[in-house]
Amino acid sequence: MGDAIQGSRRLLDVDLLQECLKHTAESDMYILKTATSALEEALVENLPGWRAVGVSGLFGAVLLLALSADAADDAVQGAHLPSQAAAAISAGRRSSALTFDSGAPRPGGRWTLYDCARSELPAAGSPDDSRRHGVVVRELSTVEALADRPLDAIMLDLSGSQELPPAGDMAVLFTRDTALEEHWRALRNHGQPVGRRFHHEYVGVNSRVDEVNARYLLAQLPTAPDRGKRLTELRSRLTQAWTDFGARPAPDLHEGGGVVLTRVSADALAVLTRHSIPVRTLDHGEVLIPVLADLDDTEAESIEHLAGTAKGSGA
Amino acid sequence: MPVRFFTTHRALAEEEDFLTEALNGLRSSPTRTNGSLVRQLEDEVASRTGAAHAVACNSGTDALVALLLAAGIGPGDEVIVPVYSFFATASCVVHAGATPVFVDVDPDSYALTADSVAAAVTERTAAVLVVHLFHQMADMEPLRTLCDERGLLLLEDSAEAIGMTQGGLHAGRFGAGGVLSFFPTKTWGGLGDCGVIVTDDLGLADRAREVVAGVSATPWCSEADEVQAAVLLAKARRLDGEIERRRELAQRYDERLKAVQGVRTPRLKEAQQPQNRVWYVYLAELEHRDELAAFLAERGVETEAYYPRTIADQPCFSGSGSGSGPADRRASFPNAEYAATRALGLPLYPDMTDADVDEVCSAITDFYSAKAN
Repeated sequence: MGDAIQGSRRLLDVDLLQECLKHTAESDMYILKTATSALEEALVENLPGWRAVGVSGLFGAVLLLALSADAADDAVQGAHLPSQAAAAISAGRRSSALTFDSGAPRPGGRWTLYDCARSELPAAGSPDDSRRHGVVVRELSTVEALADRPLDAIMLDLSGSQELPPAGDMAVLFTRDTALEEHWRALRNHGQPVGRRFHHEYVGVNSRVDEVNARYLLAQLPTAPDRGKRLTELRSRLTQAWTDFGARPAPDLHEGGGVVLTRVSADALAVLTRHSIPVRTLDHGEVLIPVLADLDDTEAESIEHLAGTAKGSGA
Repeated sequence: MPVRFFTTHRALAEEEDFLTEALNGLRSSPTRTNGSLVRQLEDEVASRTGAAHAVACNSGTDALVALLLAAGIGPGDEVIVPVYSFFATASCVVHAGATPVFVDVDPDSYALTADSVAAAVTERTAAVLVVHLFHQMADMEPLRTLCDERGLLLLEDSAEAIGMTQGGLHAGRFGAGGVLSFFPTKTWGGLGDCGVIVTDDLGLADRAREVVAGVSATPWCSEADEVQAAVLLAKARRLDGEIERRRELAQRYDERLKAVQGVRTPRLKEAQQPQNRVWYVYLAELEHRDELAAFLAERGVETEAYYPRTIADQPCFSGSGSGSGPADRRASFPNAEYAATRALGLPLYPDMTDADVDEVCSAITDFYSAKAN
């Protein structure tokens, strides 16, 4: 049964991917072209006022943010962040990019970053403390849920997404600040402002979106809400079944969400592992049962029944 | 008849079966990056270059940064780079926390020379980053000797240099390590970004893997996509033939353009060691370059000015802002500045026909004939 719900169920649609490759080759447009723009527009269709900037991964997203901030070691801070985000903060501090100044506008500012699953986020209407606030999420539905918070950036790490899994690594920066948006668009493409090839206003990086990835996600985007609903339903079922083990739904976790068991005994864990359920141990001894959108009802029922077995095992 | 600057339709169409088979391996795998196809790509690169180790990254630019970080380059260091190159040659140094020191290039090979590098070495110089551009390598033996004598790391931005050798050694292998880029228009190009570090030094390779995996003290996370690896493995099957086709096309350009007034065809510079050249770009130096490019565009011929300004002349390095620039930003670079106003890349890719080359040359001839009259 383990095979039924492990990561392999977040399958790549290889036929769709081949179509995307074919169209990319035929169009002669490979990187940061029309499919990327179309994807960025589609991603904010339900997010009035927000803009989307695609990047090559979460590391790139946080690095862009760091390279747009003030030139100070503590300009970007965050706790409990995914390793790629923490690495990007470190890389941004080491880079001397901010010492090379063309005199062009730079947004600046200081940032506090959060992981939506592991940190208390600023509440709607909370007072501004003069820092900018950014949060790392994995699901588009989480972006939509957080859109009314006082956030300056939402970083959607698609590599961990179950609603909208990409064909390769990719992330999206969301912001309502047009100056930030414009700056990030330049930084992700070697510091070249949009439309100004071989004109490097800033010492940027290469954190560009491949058109293959953009095409693939564009094709998947219309079905993302259905996958989101299915995930919610599955998490709800399993949470109910495993309620005696302190189950709670965890929709947006690094490396994939699911149902977290806050009270799980060694016997219950043994039942799960004996049936090849690929559980993950989280902080404080909590255990995650991954829940993927393409889990079918029979497979879900099997996992529900395992709760009974676990209880019967003296857990 | 329009002539695109680059297309790759035919290569993928003809390798569709191989590509399908490679991608089928992804049907049962959750891995999107850094998986078995990326490992196969690294093996293919190592085999083709003779390098002991190859470490794939998400782009050639990231590979450059990771190479510098793995080599221990950091704050306080100066790295000598050619002032005439793609921007990433300098930005990688900046992101490693070091300072790029710009040096003029040889007017024929567009590469660093030992003499020009020697004049720029200071007590802070930690490394020399040599770039091989367009269709030939820098003369590597004198550069290697210089670096050995001065105790400098020799690194290579061999992004454009797949297949190029000197004295039997592949580009990227003359010093501590080098980088290949698989940007789509490259000789061996994917359908998106991808790059690789090549090195014979196991310690450097291990450190580079830690850097790109983000588990180093100096992280630069950058994993290659499996899908790009699949495309590159498919295109590797035809790479040797495509390199030969590029050579034929370049020869055809030479024959048709060498007598045209206003055109200076590429000059092949001899190195100390015999070398094998690969034509990534056919770069001619042309009078009235920008006017010609506009004329060609009207005739449906796409071109690309490589590079319309030197790196030192980029706003971020030459701007009037308050930040510090490279140590020598006020220096002049006559060879690079000359090339920046004259050099134009003409279409050159295996899908081109002989008739395409003739069309481009005919348009260029028409332009200069009209100028002469």
